[in-house]
Amino acid sequence: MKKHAVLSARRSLIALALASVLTACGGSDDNDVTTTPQPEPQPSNEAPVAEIVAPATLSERDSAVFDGSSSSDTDGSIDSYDWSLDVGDYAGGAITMTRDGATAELFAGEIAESVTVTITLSVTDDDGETTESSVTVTIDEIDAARLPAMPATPDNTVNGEDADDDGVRDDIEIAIYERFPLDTHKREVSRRAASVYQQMLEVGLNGSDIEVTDVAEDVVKMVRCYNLENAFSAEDARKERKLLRALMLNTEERRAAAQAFDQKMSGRVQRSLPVTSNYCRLEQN
Amino acid sequence: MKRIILPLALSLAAPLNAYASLNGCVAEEQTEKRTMFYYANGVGNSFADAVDSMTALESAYKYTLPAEEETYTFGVAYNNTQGLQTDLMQVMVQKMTEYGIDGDPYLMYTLILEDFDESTIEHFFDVLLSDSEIQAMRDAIRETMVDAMRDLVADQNLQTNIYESDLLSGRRVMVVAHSQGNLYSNSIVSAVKERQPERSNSIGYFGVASPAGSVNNYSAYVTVQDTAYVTAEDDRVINPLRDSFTVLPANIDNDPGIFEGRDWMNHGFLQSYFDSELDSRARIDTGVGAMAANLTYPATTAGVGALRASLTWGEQRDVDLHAFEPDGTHVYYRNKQGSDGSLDVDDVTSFGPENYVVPCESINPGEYTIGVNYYAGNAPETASVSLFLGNGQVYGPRETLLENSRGSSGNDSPEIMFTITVADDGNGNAVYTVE
Repeated sequence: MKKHAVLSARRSLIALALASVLTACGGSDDNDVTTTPQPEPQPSNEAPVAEIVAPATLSERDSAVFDGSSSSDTDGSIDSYDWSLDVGDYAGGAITMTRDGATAELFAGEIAESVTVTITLSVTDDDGETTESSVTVTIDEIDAARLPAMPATPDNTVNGEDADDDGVRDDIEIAIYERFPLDTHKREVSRRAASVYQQMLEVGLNGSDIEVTDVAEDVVKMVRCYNLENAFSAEDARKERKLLRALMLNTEERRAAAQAFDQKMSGRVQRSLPVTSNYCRLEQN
Repeated sequence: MKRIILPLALSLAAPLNAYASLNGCVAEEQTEKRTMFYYANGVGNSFADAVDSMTALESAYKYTLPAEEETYTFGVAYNNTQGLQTDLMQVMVQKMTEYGIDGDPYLMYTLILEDFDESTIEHFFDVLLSDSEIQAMRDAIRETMVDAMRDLVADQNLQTNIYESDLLSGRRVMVVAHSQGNLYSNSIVSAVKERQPERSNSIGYFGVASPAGSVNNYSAYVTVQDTAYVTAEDDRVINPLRDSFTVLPANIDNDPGIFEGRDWMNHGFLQSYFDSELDSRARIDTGVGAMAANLTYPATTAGVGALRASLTWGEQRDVDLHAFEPDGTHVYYRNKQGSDGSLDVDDVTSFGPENYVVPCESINPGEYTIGVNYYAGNAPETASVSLFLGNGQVYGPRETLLENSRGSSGNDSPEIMFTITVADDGNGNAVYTVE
């Protein structure tokens, strides 16, 4: 009767299920199954390496070279170098960079305080891939750092305080820096003038006529320096010299000493004298 | 045939020189025609200010004035306005107290005088001045300077000795005088002409911003059309003086119009007269050029050289110059020719000068001493000695009051005025130390 048909149907169903499971399990390809061929996977590009050889610091009024030539690409070559400079908040315009292929040069002019900059090198390989590397560099302000400390009692004596013994009274040395923080030339000419005015104060009251004559010679040279050096325009030269003198003669005693010097020179003559440029600039120590 | 071997004979006859003479003159002026060009400064100038103006004159004229074989040497004939600085500080303190400003009066004076901008004044004084406050301080400064000039007694001074020495050594003397410098030049140049009448055409001056009533009392100068002096019509230091005494009339409209670079007193030498933007500059150029062309070169009676001492005195009959040389030679009226130098001018009729000079190539290392002896006279006498060295430096004049005449008994112990130590710089040039 009907018992056989049911069993065979069941068997067929199971066989069919088995077959489909078998097929679903990742199918062996050694049957006559047709598949679409996949392409061969390629090896992936090696990115280039950007490397900068650089100093960690430099000083104002100096320059440094940043060398990117040790950058490399393992599976090719570097096609291009791209340098950029980030000066952060600095707005003075004295920090610049020039580029020349694998190297760049950083130039620092006069700055009023130390600045930290970031220099970034971006290299691109011959496959068009780019990698970046950055370094930070501190540009040191060195002039303010070399100033003497403001004396506690700068005006107690005619001569005042000169702790760093450079011939320029310390409070004046600081005042000169504050007036010309970004101009070494103006500072150095002013320092020479201050040292001569200092000598004038020292000999004014008690100096012999020989000492007064010797200082008068220096005054002639010092005034000539303002004209020779072109640190200032002709009009500014006179005003700045007189301002410096006024800053130096800031007590009655000092004014009396300067007046005594002038009175000793009164009725006399002083010839013009030549001056060498290295006299005109008194460097900060 | 005689053959005379002269060089050998001469060298045997020549005395062996115990020293090697040094080269004593490193200053320029080796030309025969030399002119000293002095700047006589104006009111309220520090020595440095006077030097500033002299330097400008030198830049302008040193290489443009000389004809062939001529040299111009520049110097400042400085005159301090005594007492002015004290007066100025007084008025500045007054004004600053009035306006409630704290700080240094000399600094404020400088900033106002030199017309620094308001932000600079604010930086130093922490105060913003009003226009009327600035004007009031300017007025106070100007009035104080005018008063100082009004009260000035511009006597002859030690520059008379210097100018006279210059003339005697064959140099012309030209002076550009500014402001109070005119008053001094009037006195001094007149005195020199009186003492050296044969050389009076060898000295002259040109006046700028002159408060004088006449130029040197020489009408010949005043009538030379507009070249003897230049004073601006709006000079605010000279004009107030016209109320007090006779002042030479202003003779130029020096207002440059819109390009106003003059100082606010219209009086400053550099800003208000010598600046090449101003019409007055052409007048100065003309005046200086006229002197350069017309002054005559005086005869040289007093040599110049490596070391020169020049003695003058007053009306008493005779003061003598004495010099002691490194080898011990005593040079004076009884022994005028020394080993190194000589007494080439010996005056026995009063005033002097007397001149001891060591030529450039005869200076030796060692000590030179310069002294004076009061030989003849009836009253105390002031002797004045100037020292001129071959490096261009001038010392003194140093003065001494000689109480009693000593005659020849003073010859061996004159009063020492200068001691000069001469050394070799290592290259055969003389280096001088003066005491």
